[in-house]
Amino acid sequence: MIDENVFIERLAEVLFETNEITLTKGTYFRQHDDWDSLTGMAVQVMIKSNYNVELPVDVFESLNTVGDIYNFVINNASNNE
Amino acid sequence: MSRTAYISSIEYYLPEKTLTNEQINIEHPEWAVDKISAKTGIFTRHLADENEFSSDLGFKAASKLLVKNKEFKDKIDYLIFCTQTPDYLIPATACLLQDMLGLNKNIGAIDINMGCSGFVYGLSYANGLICSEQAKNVLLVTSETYSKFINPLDKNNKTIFGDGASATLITASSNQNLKGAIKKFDFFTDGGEYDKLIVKNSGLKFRDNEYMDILNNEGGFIRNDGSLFMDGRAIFQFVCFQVPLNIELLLKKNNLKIEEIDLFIFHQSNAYMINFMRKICKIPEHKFFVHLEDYANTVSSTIPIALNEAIEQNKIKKGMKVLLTGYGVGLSVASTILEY
Repeated sequence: MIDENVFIERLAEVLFETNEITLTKGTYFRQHDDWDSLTGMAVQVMIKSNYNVELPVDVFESLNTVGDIYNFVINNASNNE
Repeated sequence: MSRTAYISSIEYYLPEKTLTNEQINIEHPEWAVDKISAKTGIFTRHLADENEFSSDLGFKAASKLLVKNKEFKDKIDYLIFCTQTPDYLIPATACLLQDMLGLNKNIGAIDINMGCSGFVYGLSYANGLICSEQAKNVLLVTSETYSKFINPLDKNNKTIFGDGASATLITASSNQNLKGAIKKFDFFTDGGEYDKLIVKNSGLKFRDNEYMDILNNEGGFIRNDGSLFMDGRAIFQFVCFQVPLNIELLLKKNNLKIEEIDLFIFHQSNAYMINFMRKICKIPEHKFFVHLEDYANTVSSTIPIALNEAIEQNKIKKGMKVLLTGYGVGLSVASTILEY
C-alpha cells in the first residue's frame, strides 16, 4: 500500500523550496508561487523513480490538487510499496 | 613507470556583452525577474558579439592560460578544441587556433563535437594521448557561441544559455601524487534521443529547407528548425535517471564509495535541475558546487569554469577527490574523478 504521508512528504520536497508550507490532499499545487514547468518535470521524475508510474504530460495537465496526483499514482502503480 | 595525466592549469574567457534577467524581462514581461533567478540561479549571461566566434573566445581563454604558463607554450604537442559552434565545418577550428596562438606546427590539432559533456570527453582524449605516450602536454579548449543559434522568440533557451570558453593544460608526469590527477571515466550515450537537443539545420541534411517559427495556440514559441531546440522535459528525465547510474558505475570503476568524494562538480545546466539531482544522488549540500549566477550554462565550459572557481575559493585541498559529470546533447553523460 502506498503510504499517503510519505507520498505527500516526497511531493512537498519536490514542490517547495521551504519546509514551512503544509501540503494536504486538497492543496491546489498550481497556485503556489514555486510552481512552474521545471517543478512539474521534477514531480514526474519523483513519481517514476519512487512508484514506477509514468505520468503523461496531457494527463498531468488535467490534475490540479495533490489528491489528484496521489489518486493517479494509486490507480496506476502495479506494485504498491 | 606508467604515466599519469593531471590538470595543471585552467583559465576561461567570457565575452563582454551581457544579457541580464532585467533585459529578458523587458522582451518577455511574463518572465518575472526574481523568478528567473530563483529558479535557474542565473542573473547574467555573456553573449558573443556579432563578429566574435568560437575561435575568438577560445583564443582569449587559451592566451590567458599561456601567459600564466609561458614555459609550456613551446611544449604543447596536442590541441583539442571542443565545440558545436565551429567557425567552419571544414576545416577544424583547432587548426585555426594553432596558428592564432602561435603554437608549434609539429603538433596534433583536432576538433571534437560534443556539448555539455564535452569537457569530460576532452579530458578523456587528453588522458588517452598522455597515457599512451602520444603527447606530453595537451591544451584542451572548450568554446561555444550557442547564442547565435537561439531564436529571438525563445525565452527558455535565451534564459539558460550563455557563451564562453575555457582552456585547460593537461600534462604528463610519472609522479603519481601530483594534484589534479585524472582517474577513470564512465560514459553513456543514447543516440535514439538525438533530436531532443538539436539544431536541425546545422549540417548538410536539411540545408535546403525553409524554416519558420512554430508557435503554440497562445502564440508562444515552440521551435524553428534553424534554431536551437531543446525538449526540456526529455532532457530533465534523461539526466535525472541516467546521471545517478553513471556516477554509480564511475565510483565502481575507481573503487570508491560516494562518501569518499569530497566535492561534486556537475555540468552547471541550471540551479534547480542540479540541486534536484543532488537530492536524487543523496549528495550533501556542502559537497556540491554550484556556480553559474554570472555565467549561465556555457555548455562545455561550465565544468572548467566551476572547477577553476572552486580552486580559487580554496574549496579543493590536497588529497581531495573531485567528481566531474557532464550531460546533455547526444544525449550523453560523461564522468570522471580528479585526485588533488
